[in-house]
Amino acid sequence: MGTYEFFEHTADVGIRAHGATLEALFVCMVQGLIELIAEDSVLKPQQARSLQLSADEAESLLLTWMQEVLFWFSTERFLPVTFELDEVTQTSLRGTVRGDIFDPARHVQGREVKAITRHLLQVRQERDGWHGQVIVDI
Amino acid sequence: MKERAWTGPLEKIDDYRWRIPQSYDRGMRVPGLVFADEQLLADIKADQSLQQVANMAYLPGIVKASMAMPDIHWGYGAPIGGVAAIDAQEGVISPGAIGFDINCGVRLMTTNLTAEEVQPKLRTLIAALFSDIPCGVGMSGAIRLSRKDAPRAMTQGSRWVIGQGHGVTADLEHTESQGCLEGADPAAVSERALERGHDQLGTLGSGNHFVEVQAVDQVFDEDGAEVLGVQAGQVTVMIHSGSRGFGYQVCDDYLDVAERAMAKYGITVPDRQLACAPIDSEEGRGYLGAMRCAANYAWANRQCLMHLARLTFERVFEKSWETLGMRLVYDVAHNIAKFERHRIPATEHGGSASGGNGEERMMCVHRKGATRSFPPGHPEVPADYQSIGQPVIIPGDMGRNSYVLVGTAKAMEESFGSCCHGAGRVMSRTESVRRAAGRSIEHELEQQGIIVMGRGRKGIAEEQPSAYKDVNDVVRVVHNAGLAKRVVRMRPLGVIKG
Repeated sequence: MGTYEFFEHTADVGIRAHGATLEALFVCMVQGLIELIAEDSVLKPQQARSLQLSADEAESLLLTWMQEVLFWFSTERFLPVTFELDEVTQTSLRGTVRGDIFDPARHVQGREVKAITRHLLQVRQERDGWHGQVIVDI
Repeated sequence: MKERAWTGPLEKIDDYRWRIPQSYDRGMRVPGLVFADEQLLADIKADQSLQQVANMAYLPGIVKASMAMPDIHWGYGAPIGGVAAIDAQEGVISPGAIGFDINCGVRLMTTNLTAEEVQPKLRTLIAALFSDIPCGVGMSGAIRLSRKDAPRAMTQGSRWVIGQGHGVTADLEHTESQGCLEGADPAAVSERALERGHDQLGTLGSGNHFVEVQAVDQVFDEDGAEVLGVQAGQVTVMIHSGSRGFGYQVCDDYLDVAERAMAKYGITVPDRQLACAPIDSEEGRGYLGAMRCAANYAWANRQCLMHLARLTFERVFEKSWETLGMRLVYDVAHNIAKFERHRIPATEHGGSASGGNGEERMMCVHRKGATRSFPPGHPEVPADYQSIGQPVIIPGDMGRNSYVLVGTAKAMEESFGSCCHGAGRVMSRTESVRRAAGRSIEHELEQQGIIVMGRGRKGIAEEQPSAYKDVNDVVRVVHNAGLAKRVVRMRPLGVIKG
């Protein structure tokens, strides 16, 4: 398990997360992203999406993972709720997520996240687990 | 993060110009040049924006200075309010120094209504705009771009949507670049960008995007105002939006391309978000082809939004939009790269690689949160504005003012024909929400006679007037520095936000 918090940025919003494992960090980061988009909307794990991603290193993998979630939302209004990640390494991620279709009439409209930026993007391992931060463009 | 305030050097040149010396960082190819006064500098120094000015000075081919307008604030990669003029032959193009929202911009439309005439119907009007114009998170537009039409929208911009009935050809004359950049290459656009853009034409978005009904409250230049067709008391409509998911995806795609290109061409920059590729490279040409598609998409989008607003006014006032005098004053882009010829002045370094000897050179001017400010007589200024210069449209926050200025010859000398783009944020979004706790910003604005409607729960709190610098201060600096000349000021009557 892990935690996430938002940090201050003049124009945009930063998400900082911590997880005991890399998988927990990645899940927390996406949970932070979803809170920005849909606040505390009640979302149910009604549909599944499978994915397999790879990147050169952990920071780029985090970026790719969050971009994928944002792409689902932008094109299908799909937001993941539960995560069954079979494999998360620093260079690859494979698994299934289950989530809901966001309905502006029924759910809480938060912010439109335009993109996940590379500015101050960070993933690092410390004694207590994995830490990461990202700034999203609002 | 805010605590990382600027501690580096900042040398005063005069009351409105400040220099970050090139010696601050060995990687800087030119100095930084900040247009601001003492008062605005206090806020500017509080975040990381000046570091971003220094970072932008790393871009290969940058000429004269890495510039910042007085509305500068901390962005990603380049600061918001940043201008980088890069030699078109030897330099690079940087998607992050243009921004995700390619050709985010503003347009202003007149009406022949007065504030007194609109007042009795103001609430009805704002509610109708709020219901007619898709805005907020997860909203689709009425126009679906088919596979057949998408390349037309991407290559023709405003002209294509006007052909579909969303406006008239006269609108093109008053749009920067006539609402279309040549050289758009649909083949350079990814499938993902098309997927994100196919249902977002004619949608406002969220964040700081808005449609605002305003009244002209001060005229600074009677002759200029007459040429623009605006006068005191007149109601105007301002629209702020960009290229929506289509443009965001184009930027994302080419940041990946640029990061790979940097390794290939041996370029280093201090922030991944500033990744760049030589203009004259396969990667650079790919981005330019796709960026122009996104710029054209944005002009098509603002054209659709303007036409939706016209139709709403028709319904509310029961007159045709032509009878209501709903004429486009001008549309400016403020997140874009443009190829422009500029005279490169000899610098204090005596015409080094970063300066020039007074010759004219083709530059790729990156403006991120900055608008053009072209002078009277410039060939890219519309025929009927030739005597006054290009209108520079500066929105402020939703509680104070907005401005129309006109471009100047001085801006061509000083800032590659660039000016500020807005008020500029001064408070973070999280801080804004905290400060709005237990308050109703809508109610507070209503007490001032301004009706605000927004979709997001926190959107209006994040966009509250105190989250921004006072646009009057910002405009005073650009006017006094000679980057543009004040013509009229507006005050808000009602606003819709995403």
